[in-house]
Amino acid sequence: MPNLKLIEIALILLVSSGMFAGIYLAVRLARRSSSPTESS
Amino acid sequence: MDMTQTDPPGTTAINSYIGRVDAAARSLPPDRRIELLDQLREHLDAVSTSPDATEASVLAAIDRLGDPAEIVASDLDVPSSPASGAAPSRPGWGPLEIIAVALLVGGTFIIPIVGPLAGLVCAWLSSAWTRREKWIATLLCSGPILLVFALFLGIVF
Repeated sequence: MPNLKLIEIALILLVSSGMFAGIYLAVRLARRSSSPTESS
Repeated sequence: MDMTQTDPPGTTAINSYIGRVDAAARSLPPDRRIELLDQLREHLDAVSTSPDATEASVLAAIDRLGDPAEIVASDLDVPSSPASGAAPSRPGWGPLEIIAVALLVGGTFIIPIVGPLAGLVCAWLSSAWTRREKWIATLLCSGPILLVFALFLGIVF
């Protein structure tokens, strides 16, 4: 069932798609908020 | 780059000015230096791409920003307010930022594709992140989604 495998991969990618971006933005903002030397 | 498209007025002056700031900012921490350059470029790009922008208005904006060495010196003195008048300092966590991050991280469990995209829209509406950070987030977010579409196209065809 090669199609099933592809759908699995697609679902994993879908779930992870926003996570990477969300974590990246959260880390950037958190670092900026907590560190006075890393403003804006 | 599309060669048929003309550059906005003052592009050469902006690039030259950013280059001079970059050279002057070598004493800053790398992250801070990149963000300072991003802020300046964002500010000057906004001036040069405004409908009534002229070479003179861009040069005036550069003039208002001041000497690159002074910008870097003021950034070292007052880290929270770089480049006096360059760009407003970015706010921290607010409702929009929380919604953006929440939708990006968990939105896919509520509505796949649409959830993260809504989070991305919120992130672009927020002024808490630099344009560079927003583009990185967009690429991180849209890359896998495009891959999913490609996979499904591969299944269908």
